[in-house]
Amino acid sequence: MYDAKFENAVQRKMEELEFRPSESVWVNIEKAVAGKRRRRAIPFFWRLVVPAVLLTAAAGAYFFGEKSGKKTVAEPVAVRSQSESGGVPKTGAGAKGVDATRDGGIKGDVGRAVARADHRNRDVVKNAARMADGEKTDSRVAEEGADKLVETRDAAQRPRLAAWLFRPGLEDQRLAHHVRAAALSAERGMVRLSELSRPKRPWEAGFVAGGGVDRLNRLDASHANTAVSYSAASFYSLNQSAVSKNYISDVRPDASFYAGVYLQKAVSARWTFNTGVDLHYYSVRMSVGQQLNTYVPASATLLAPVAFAAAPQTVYTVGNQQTYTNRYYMLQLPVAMQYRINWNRMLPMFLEGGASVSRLMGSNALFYNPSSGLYLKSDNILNKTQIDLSSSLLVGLPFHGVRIQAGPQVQYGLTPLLNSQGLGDQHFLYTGIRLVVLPGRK
Amino acid sequence: MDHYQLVRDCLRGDGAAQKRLYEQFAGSMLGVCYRYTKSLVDAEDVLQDGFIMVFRNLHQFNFAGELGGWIRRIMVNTAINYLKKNSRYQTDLLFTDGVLHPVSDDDPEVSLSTKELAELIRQLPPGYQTIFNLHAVEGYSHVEIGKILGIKEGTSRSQYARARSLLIGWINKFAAAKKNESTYVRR
Repeated sequence: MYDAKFENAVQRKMEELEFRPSESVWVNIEKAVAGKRRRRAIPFFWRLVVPAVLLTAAAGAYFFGEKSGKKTVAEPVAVRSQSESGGVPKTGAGAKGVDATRDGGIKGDVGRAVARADHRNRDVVKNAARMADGEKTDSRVAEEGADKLVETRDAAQRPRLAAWLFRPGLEDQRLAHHVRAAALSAERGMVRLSELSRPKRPWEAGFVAGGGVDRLNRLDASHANTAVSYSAASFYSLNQSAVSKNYISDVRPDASFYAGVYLQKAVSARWTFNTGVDLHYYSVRMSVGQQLNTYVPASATLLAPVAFAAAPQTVYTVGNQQTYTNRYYMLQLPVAMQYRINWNRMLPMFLEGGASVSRLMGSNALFYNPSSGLYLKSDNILNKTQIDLSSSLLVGLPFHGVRIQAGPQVQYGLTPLLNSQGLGDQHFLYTGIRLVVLPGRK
Repeated sequence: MDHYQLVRDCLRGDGAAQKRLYEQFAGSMLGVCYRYTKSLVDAEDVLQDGFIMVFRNLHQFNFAGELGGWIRRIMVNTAINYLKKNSRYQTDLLFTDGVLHPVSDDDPEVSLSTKELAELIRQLPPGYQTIFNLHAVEGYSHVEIGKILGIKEGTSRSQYARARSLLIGWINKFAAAKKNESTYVRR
């Protein structure tokens, strides 16, 4: 058994071993700790952002265009059943929906050193332009470079101590050190440490999407007796008493989803502000009866403007012969604050709360008119601008090169869907899964 | 400087505190990295990666031990990962199970300077160098070294014995050469 005296002596001596690292080491550490976003994530991101913006713009143009091109049917002046019109029902404006071997030694070392210097100093070429702008004079850089060379030459000469044991290839080591020292000294002149020491909280862009179910308040049949009709009862030829006995449909929940662009900015270590724009699709289902078409008799043009009278409108009788899906397309501008609940690096959790303003871009929704006992479309009774409250609990999922947050979300419409109190106080309630994707750091 | 406050400042994202922490430990940690590598450039690479790890994991430091010891462990782990990844070192890190070497019971007087001794340690083949550093300098047991490097305990013992024997031989030769040189100069 050996005495540990030798080990103790070695340990004591090695405790004293110290070197002064070059300044570029700290600069690189600071860059990495400041969390610079990886460059290769950017092209990937922009490849997706452009189609997303185009998609949103196209959807907006489609719905806006459809609305402006369509003649508003304010008040239908007559209605005739399919049998009365004597034939095939006309369709209305329906729903739309580096490497080297071990003893390659000398040249290999030079190559590796150059490669590492290059790796550490990717921005040197870029910075050279800034150097020319006078951030630091060439002479100063040269002086620092010279200091560095002396320092690195000394380091390169150290292996001479045991020169009788090996062949260190001093000339090549020196060359490698010189190349690296020149690159490092150039970079040292370019980077302002004070700029790097501040925590950077830039705006970040990504995508947001979600899917779930939405529901409306029940469209109660009792409203039929108390509702204020939004169109004159005399417009309808059907007998109200005849339809009042028929089945009036519930409004049932249906699918809802949204997608858009997401922007966020960290305001502190825990709080993040986010906004963006997205297109939100809501739908609800209801049972309706037979489809009817309205038309305007020639005599009625005396009572109503000609432009309005020219467009036919589809109406439905009450009943449960078919299922009709009311669709709503909203352009939404959300604003929210996100709070980081924990500091777990693997599974961070966030609580998000906010509000959004949305604008109805298009809808094919049918509403029950108690005066006529029919389901018909009317844009006039919809509140086109909606204000919603939203809350979600998100979990950050580790994924290579991309930050993903996903979790349940609830959104409630503060603004009633219909602008007439008599037609019931209906609000959207959306529940679903929210997904946020941000390219860049973990 | 109070390490507790320094760590707290670093965790708050205070750049000046991060630099203070780096400046306080960078010199000695570069010494640690230097012992595991074959060039100062490689050592600085390890130091850089190690400090990035330190700052990214500083929230895991629980103040139970010395901050310097915690950073040093990270540096050692980073150095070993660097050796494993780097093809230059990889070939020499393929440890072969050999016959258990008897450990030389020589305990020469280590009259060399710190840097001279460090240079001699760095002349050992990477496998020997790593095991010698881990056992003799860091104080890891052969069981721990086996776990770190993924080798058998016996292999670690055997390699250490060879490294120790080789190093002692070199120290003796170097001391003799130095003595002759100084004698010659005096004349």
